Amino acid sequence: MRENSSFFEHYKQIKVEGFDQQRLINNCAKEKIILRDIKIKNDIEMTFKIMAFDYKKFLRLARNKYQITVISENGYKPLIKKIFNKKSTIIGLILFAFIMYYQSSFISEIRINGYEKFTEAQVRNCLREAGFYEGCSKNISIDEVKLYLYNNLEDLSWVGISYVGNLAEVTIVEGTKPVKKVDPNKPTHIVADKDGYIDKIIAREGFATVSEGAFVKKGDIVISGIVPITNNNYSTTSSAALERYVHASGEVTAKVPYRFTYYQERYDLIKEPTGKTMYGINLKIGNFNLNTGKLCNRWETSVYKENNIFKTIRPLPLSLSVTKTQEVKLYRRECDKEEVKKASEILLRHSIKDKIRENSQILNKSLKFSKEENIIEVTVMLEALEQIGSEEDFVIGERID
Amino acid sequence: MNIKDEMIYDFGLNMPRILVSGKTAIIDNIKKIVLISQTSIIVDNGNRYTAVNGDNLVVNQLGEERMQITGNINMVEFYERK
Repeated sequence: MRENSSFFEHYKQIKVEGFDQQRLINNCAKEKIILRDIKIKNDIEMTFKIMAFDYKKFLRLARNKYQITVISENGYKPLIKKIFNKKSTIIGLILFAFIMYYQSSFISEIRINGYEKFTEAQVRNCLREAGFYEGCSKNISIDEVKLYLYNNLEDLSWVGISYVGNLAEVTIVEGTKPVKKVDPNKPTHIVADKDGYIDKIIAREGFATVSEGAFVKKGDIVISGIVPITNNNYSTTSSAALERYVHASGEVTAKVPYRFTYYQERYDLIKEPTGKTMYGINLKIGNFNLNTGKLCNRWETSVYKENNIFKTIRPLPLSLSVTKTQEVKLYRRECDKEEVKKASEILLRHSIKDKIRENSQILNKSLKFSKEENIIEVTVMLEALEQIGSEEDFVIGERID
Repeated sequence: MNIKDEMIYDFGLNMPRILVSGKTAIIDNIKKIVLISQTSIIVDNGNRYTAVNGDNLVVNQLGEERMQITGNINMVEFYERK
């Protein structure tokens, strides 16, 4: 290990001129001086590599019988020495380090995740108002930015800001509007919050106003909080109906029909490369833009790709990208039914996630395809079993039909 | 190879030991270098001599009684000590 690390550290390539070369090599071997790359040029000249710390010992062995010339010095030590002997290199390195440090103190890109109700532009504008924008210093107080977002974007549950190099990742979690709580002592009805066919109705408190299989519309009372009291006492002759007002509770499950319509491309556009490729550069300095990939492109149809290799914001907005333009031939292919079905089912899963409650059960699903000129219309009929009852308070004296 | 032969092979420090593979040769148990040139390298192993003949021979490393040679190796010879 020692000999390898020492050659890696510092070694000299030397030329030895003189007679009786074998004797000198033998003496080196006896003194345990390690030699490498021994090349015998002729009877009086040879070259080899020797470790720097063996060099003095070697000179003592050779005495004045041989003429010794150091051809070169290699290894990491002389390399570092060489670098640090050049002032311009040191200045360049310091400048480079400073520019790198200076660059790293600014935010070059902001990525926003988690927005649903708000648009990205809204969040970005709000961040800008808080002083958090592309090109701003990283020294900005994150807590203040978060506070600004909480104050200016409604129903924001959580904001997270983290740095990945010069990229700032802003993650927001939007809250849902709290469900209005009804006082448990107040009389309430249970009303349907969706249209559907009643599958099961269990009234724990109050009385069911609809039977199983009946169709209810959104807002219809399904369990009433007004319970009529029937008087079985023969002695009373009062004809006035008596009522009891309760806080209705129970379970209402209904089969809710859904109809979704999606449009799919009938033809799939296929880009086949011809094999012709052109590379170029895209240089942006402030508002100046030089894109050789676009300037020299004479092809009718092509695919353009850009790979950013350098980007700075301060002191100068500069970016350099390598561009690749590939000539392609376009042709279209009619999509088969399976492909359309697969694509529609992906969209359907998104719709189910958005519009149907989590604990619902999908009972039936049917897809209908109808071909138009360039598109395929996919109609999906869906039946889901859902809890549709929600509490709604009422004013005493109001009667149900 | 029986145990006795193995012991002689392992502890035969004055006997030539050479490994040749393609353009590389490694000679062990080197006591002295007798001749060194671009075409021939002769070393003393103590009891016998080893000669490697070829073209453009270069000693890649020499140390600790071991020599690594590269070049076009044509012939390996062993000489008895008189």
